Amino acid sequence: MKPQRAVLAGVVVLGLVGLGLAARNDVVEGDASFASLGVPTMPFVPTGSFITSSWFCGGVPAGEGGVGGDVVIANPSDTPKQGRITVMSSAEGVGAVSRPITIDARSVSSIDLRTLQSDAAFLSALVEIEGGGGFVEQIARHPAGDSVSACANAASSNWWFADGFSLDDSIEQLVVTNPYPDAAIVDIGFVTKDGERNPSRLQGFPIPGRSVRVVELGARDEALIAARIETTRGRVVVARAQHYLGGGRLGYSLTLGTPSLADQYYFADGDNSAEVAEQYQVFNASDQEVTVDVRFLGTAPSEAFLNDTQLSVPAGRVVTFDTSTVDALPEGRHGVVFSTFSTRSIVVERVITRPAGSSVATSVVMGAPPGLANTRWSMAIGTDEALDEALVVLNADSLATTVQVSTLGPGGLVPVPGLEALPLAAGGVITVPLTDPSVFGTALVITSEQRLFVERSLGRGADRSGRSGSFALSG
Amino acid sequence: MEAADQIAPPVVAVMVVHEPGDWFDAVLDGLAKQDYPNLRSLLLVTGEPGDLADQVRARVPNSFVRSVDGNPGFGPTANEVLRLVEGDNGFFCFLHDDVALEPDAIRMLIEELYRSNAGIVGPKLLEWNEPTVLQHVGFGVDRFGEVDPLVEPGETDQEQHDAVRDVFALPSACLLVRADLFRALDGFAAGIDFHGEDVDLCWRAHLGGARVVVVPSARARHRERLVERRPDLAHHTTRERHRVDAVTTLTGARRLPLVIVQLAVLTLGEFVVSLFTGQARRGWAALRAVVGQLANLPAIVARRRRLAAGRSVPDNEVAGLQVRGSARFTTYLRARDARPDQRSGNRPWRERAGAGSGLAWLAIVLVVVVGSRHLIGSGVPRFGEFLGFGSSPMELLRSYANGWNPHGVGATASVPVGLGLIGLAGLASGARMGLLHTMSVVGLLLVGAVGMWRLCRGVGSTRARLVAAVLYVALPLPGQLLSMGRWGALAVFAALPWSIDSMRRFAGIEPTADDAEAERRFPVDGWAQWRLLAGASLIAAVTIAFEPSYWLLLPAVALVLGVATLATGAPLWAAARLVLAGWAAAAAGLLLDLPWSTELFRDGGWAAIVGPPPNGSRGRSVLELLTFDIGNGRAAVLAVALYLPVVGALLLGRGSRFGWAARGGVLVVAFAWLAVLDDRGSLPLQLPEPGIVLVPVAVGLALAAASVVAAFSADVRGGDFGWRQPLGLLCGVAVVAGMVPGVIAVQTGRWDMPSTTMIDLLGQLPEQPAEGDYRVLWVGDQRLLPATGQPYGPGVAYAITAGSTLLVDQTWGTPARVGDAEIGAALRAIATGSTTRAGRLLAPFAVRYIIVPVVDGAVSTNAAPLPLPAGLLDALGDQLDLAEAYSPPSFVVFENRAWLPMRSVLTADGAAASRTAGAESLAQADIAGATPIMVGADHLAEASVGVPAGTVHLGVPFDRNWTVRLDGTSVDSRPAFGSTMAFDIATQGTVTMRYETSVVRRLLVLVQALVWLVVLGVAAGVRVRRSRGRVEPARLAQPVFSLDPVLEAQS
Repeated sequence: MKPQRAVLAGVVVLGLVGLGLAARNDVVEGDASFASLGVPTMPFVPTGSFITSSWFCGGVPAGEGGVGGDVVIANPSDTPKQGRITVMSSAEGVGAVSRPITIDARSVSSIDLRTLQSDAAFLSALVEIEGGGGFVEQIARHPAGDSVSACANAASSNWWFADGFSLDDSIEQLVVTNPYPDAAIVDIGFVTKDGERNPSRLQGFPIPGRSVRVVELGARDEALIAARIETTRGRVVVARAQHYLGGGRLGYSLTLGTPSLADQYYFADGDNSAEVAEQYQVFNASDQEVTVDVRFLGTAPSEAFLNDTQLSVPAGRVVTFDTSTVDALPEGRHGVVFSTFSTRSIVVERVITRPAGSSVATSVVMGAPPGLANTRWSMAIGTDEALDEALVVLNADSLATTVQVSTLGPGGLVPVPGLEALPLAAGGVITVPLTDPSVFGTALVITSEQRLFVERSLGRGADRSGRSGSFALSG
Repeated sequence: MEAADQIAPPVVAVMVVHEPGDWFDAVLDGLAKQDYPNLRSLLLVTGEPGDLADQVRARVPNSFVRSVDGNPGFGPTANEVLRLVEGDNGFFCFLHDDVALEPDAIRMLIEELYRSNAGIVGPKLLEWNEPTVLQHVGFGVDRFGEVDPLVEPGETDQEQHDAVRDVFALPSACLLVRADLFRALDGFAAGIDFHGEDVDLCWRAHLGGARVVVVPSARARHRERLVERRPDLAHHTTRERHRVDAVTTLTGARRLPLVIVQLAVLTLGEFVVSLFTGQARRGWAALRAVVGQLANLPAIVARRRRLAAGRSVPDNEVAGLQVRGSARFTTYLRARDARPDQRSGNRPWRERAGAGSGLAWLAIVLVVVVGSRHLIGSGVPRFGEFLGFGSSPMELLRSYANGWNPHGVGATASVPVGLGLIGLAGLASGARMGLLHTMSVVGLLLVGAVGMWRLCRGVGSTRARLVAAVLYVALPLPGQLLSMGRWGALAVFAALPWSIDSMRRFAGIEPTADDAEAERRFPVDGWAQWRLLAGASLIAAVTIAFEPSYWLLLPAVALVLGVATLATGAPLWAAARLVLAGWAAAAAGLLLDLPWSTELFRDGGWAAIVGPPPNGSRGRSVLELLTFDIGNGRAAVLAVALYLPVVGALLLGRGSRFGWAARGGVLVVAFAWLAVLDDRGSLPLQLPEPGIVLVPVAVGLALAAASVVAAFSADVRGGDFGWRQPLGLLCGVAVVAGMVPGVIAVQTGRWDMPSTTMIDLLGQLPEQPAEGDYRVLWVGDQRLLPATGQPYGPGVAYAITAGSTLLVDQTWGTPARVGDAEIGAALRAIATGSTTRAGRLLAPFAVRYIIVPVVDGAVSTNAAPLPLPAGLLDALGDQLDLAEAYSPPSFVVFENRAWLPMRSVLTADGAAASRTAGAESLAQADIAGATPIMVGADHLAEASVGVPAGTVHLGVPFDRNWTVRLDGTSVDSRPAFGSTMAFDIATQGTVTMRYETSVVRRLLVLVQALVWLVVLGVAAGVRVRRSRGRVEPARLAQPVFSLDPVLEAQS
C-alpha cells in the first residue's frame, strides 16, 4: 500500500471514528428569551432608567354623596417631572380624558380625579411620568372612611383577592380598569364557603378600552368570598371596593388585588388585643391542597406559645385564620408570615377590625410577598394630622437595625426629628408615630440597613375615627 | 535520383509534433520511406522536446527539427513554414504527428494534383490499428460549417471511395497544398489552434478558385486521438467556436444574413435536442459559439475585409460545393455523426441518445419532477427563504438600480446583487415569475446534479459520474433543505460542485486511461486559465449574491482540497493551483458583487453573512449532522451507510480514482468536524447554518461513491479475488442504501414542505389601506422570522417588512443601520419595561403591526411548536399602544394604535412633536391621527398629491436623497422625531416626493454590468480578436531552406 494511501485512509478513518466518539446524548438547545420581566407583583418603586414610567391606579369612587378620590404623585428627584394623567370612567360611552401634568422637584402633587371626569361610579387613573422616577398612590374617599392604596406598576392578565364580604348587605364590588385602547375580555369567578362559582354572566365579560367597569359578584350574605379574575384578551387592573355594613365589619376599603400567586406573604401590622379582631383569609388558588405555616414575628416565644400554627387549605378554597384561636399569642403588635412549600399557590389578606370611637372600623390589606422586603419604603400619601402608631415596621432580617423616617420637603428628603434612628430588633415590629408637623401632607421615606416591611395605619378622613391600613411602596 | 530530384517539384513535409507516444517511430518511418524524389521534412516540435530531435534525425536523416515555444496549436505552428521555407515553387504537405504515410503517398498526391490542377489534395486516411477500415476520404461541409464525414464509422475500405473526387475539405492530418496558394491564403487561420483549421483553409481555397481533391490512391494511417492526448482542451467549445467563426467570416455577404438566422434557429433547436440526448455540452458549446459572435463583430468585420481581396469565385458557386441542408441533421438521421469525435470514445448521437447516461439523466429529471409534482402544480410555498419574486422583473431591476435599499426601514445602500440577477432571470423567463420561482428552487437540485456530473469527469467513468449525480440529489441534504426553505444553502448545494470542477480544471486534474498508478495533470495556461477563472468567479459571484457565506466556504473548500491533493503525492503546484483557483474565485466573486458586497464587511456584517448567532448550541446530535437530518425529511439515518464508501474508495481506488477518493474523504471529515464543532459552539467564530457547512460533506460523499464505482470497474473487477471485491460490493450496497432517503422524500411530491405557511396567512393584514402604507415589525424566535433581520437577544431577532407582502428582497441580511438601531432600542425598551409607550417609539417608522411568529410550518409546526421567546408576549402586552389583534394560531399580531403612515401630513401636535428628538419626548407625544398621503407609492417612482399647509412626514431614516417639491419648488427636509424625515409645507399646494438616485449609483451599476458582461464573455470563451492574422505563436527566426531553385542554390 502506498504511504499516501495509508496516511489518508488513516486520517479519514480516525476523523470518522472521532466524530463517533464525539457523539453525545446531552443535546442542549437554549430557549429563546426576549425579556426577564419576572412575575407581576404588588406595587413597588422601580429603580433604573426609564423612558416613561406608568402607574395604574385601581380606581376610586366618584359621583355624589361625598365619594371621590385623589391620585397623589411624589417626585423625590431634583428636577421637575413632566407626565400625563389619563382618567378613565365607569360610565358607559364616556371616553378617557388625558392631561399633561408637571410635578415640581421634591414635591407631591395631588390630583382630584373628579376634576377631570364626572358622572361616573368609579374613576381610574393612569399616570405616566416622563423619564421615570416618582411614585404614585391613590386615596379613595368615602363617607364610610378613606382608603389608601398604591397604584400598580403594570396591568395584568390575572388578579386574585382572598377576602370578600357581603353579610348584612355589605357591598362587594370589583373595579376593573382596562387602560388599553382595545376591549379586554375577562372571566371572573369566586369562591365562597360552598365552593367555587363561575357565573356565566361573568365569563367573557367585556371591558371596553380605556374604561372602568364595576362588577358585582352577586354573592349575597357571604362572609367569605375570594375572587379570581383572568383575562382571555388584553390586560386589566382590578381593585376591590368593600363597603361594610354589618356582620362584624364596618367602614370602607378599596384594595388593589394581587396579580400573582405566591408562596409566602408578610404582614407587619398584626395586633392581638381584646378589642381587635384580626383575621387572615388564605385562598389556595392552586389545584392541590396546600399546607400553610403561620409564624408570628416580633413576639417572644414562650412555652405556652409554640408559634407553630399550620393550616390546610383545600384546592380552590379559602380558609379563615383568626389569630384569636392561637393559644397564648402574646398581646400587642406582631407581624405574621404565611408560608407554604407549594410555590405560587396562595393569596393571603388580612382583615382587621379595630375600635373606632364608639364603633369599629375594618381594614383589609393584601399581604406582601417576600420579594418586596426592602431597605427603603416610600409613600406618597402620609398623614395630614398627628397620629400615633401611624407606621408599623417589621424587620424581615435576622439582624437588629435602626429605622429612619424622612420627609420630602423643598430640600429633598429630610429625616423627621426624633425618627432618625429608631431601634428595631431582628424580626421585630415597631410602630412609628407621625406627629411632627413636617410630615403632614407630604411624602415619606423609611430607610434601614436591614430589609423591612412597612405598613401604614392612617386615619380614615376628617371627622372619622379609626384607621385604614395599607402597605407603603417598597423601594 | 539526382535527375529526378531536379525534375520533381520540391515538397516540404511539415509535421507538427507534440509530445508523441511510442507510435511516433512508425510515423517517422513512413516519412523516411517516401519514394518522392524531392521531399524535405520540417518537424515543428511544441511542448517538451526531450530527445525528440535525435529520434527524428536517426530515422529521417535529412529532416529539419525546430522547436516552437509553448503550444500554440496545430495551425499557428504549421504556419511557421511560411517563414522557415522561402519560395513558392513547390508544395507543403502538412502532417499530424500521428499519421503514417504509405511510401508512395506523397508521390500519388503530387501526381494527382498536377493531373487535376488542384490546389489542395489529401490522401485516404485509414484507421491506425485497422488499416482496412476507412477513417476519412475528405469532408463534405454544409453552409453552417458542419462536417459530413462521407464515410460511415467503422466502414470497411472496399475501394468504394477510391475515385478521385472534389471534396469541400480535407482533414489537416495530411493535406498537400501548393506553396503559392498557401502563402496567398496566409496559411491556416492564425486564430484556430485546434479543430476547424482544415475546413477554414479549404473553404478559403474554394473562395480563391482552387480545387480541393481527395486522392484515395494515396493512403495513410491515422491515430486521431487528440481528445485523449489533450484532455485539458475544451474540444466541444473550440470546435463549435471555430466552426461558427468560419461561417460568419467566409460566407458571402448576400447569403450571410439568412445563414445567420438559419444558424441561430438550428443551434437553438440543437441545444434543446441535446438536453435530451446526452449531448448537452455540445449543444451548449454551439449555442455559446453563436452568441459569442456578437462580441467578435469587430474581428469578423476585419477578417472579412482582409479576405475580400481573395474572393475570386462567386459565393453561390462555393455554396454549390457545400452539402445541402444540415449535415448534422442528415447525419443524425443516417445514424452517423457529423464528424467522429477524434477517437474520444464518444459514440454517434443516435447511439448515445438511447444509452445509459441519457436514461439515467432522464431518471434524475423524473425523480426531481415527481418529487416536486405538487410544487410544479401549485408553486413553491412561501416560507423560510422561499419568498416570492413579485410580479415584475423590471421592478426588481429598477429597484436594483435605484440606490434605495428598502430592507428594514430603508437606507441609501447597495441593493443585493441577487435581486438584479432575479430581475434578469425574470426578463429571460418572459416575466413568468411564478414559474421562475419554482424553477429557482426545484431546479437547483438539477443544477447540483449536473455540476456533480461534470465534477466527476475527473473520476473518469461514466457510470461513476451517474452514480455521483444521482446520489448527490438523493442524499437527505437537499430534501431537508427544501423542507426547511433554505434557499441559500440550496444555492450552495447547486454551486459547489461547479466551483470545484472549475478548480479541478484550473489545476489541470484530468482523468486519463493510463493513470492506474498516479493521477496525471495537464496544466492549463494562457487564455484557458483566464476562462476557467472567469467561470469560477461567475459561479462564486452568483452564489455569493444569494448566499454571502459562500465567499467563506469556497476558500475553505479549496484549502481542504489542496491539502488533500498534496497528501495524494501530487506536486505542490497542482495543489497550489487548486487553492488559488478557489480563493481567486471567491475574491473575484466578491468584487463582481460590489458594491453590495461591501455591506458584508461593515459592523455586524458577520451576522449578515452567517446569520444571527444561535442560542447556545444548535442542539443537533452528531448523528443528525452526519446524516443531514436537519429538516423535516425522513429516514435520513440511512445516509450513515454512505460513510463506508468514503473509506472504501481510499482503499480501492488508483490513479484519478484515488485522488478523488482522497479529496472526497478529506472534505467529508473536515467539514463534518466543522459542523459538529460549530453545533457545539466550540469554534471561536460562528459558522453559517449547518445546511451550508454540510454541503461539502455531501460533495465528498458523492465523490467517494463515484470513486468506489469507478475503482470497482477499473481497479478491482477482473483482479485476483481478495478483500477488494467484497469491500467494493459492500460499498456498492452502502451507496444504494444511502439513496433511500431521497427516494422516500419523493413520495410527498413536495419534499415535506408545509402546505400552509405563515406567510399565506398574512392576507389578513390590509393591503394598501386607506389609513396609509405601513410596516410590520417581526420579533420572535430567529428561526421563525420570515425575513432576515437583526439579532436582538439569545435566540431572538427582529425584522421590518413593508405591508402585507413579503418578497424575496427580505431574505438578504444586512448589518444594522441607523433605523434598525432605533427599532432595536424600542424593543429593548419593551423588554426592560422602561416604557409602556414603545408603540410611539415605533410610530415614526410606520410600524403598524408587530407580529410574533409561532408556527411557520417548517421549523415550528402545529404538532411541535417552538416555545415563544420568554417574556415576549408579556412585554408586548404591557404596552399601552399595542392592541392584540385576532390572528391565526401561526402568529400573534399586535396593532400599534400610535402608528404614523409611511407618508402623511402630521397633526398639529404631531408636527410640534416632530421637532423634538429623544425617546422620552416621543413616548409622551400623542402623534397619532396623521393624514395618510400617497398611499401605495414607493421609492421607484415619484408621487404627487395636494396637501394643506403643514408638515409632511416620511417614515424613513433622514436621507437627503429624498426630496419634496411644492408646486415645483424644492422644500427643505429636516429630521423628524430625531430619526425620520419631515418637510414643512408653508402653503397649500401639490407636493411631489421622490427618491433621487445618485449619479455615482448609476455609474456603479453601469460599470458593474459591463464587468459582468466581460467576465461572462471570457467565461463563455468569447475572445475579442482584433485580427486573426495578428496571432504570432511561433518564434522562429531564420528560414531553413527555399523552394526556389535559385535561392536554394545561393543558400
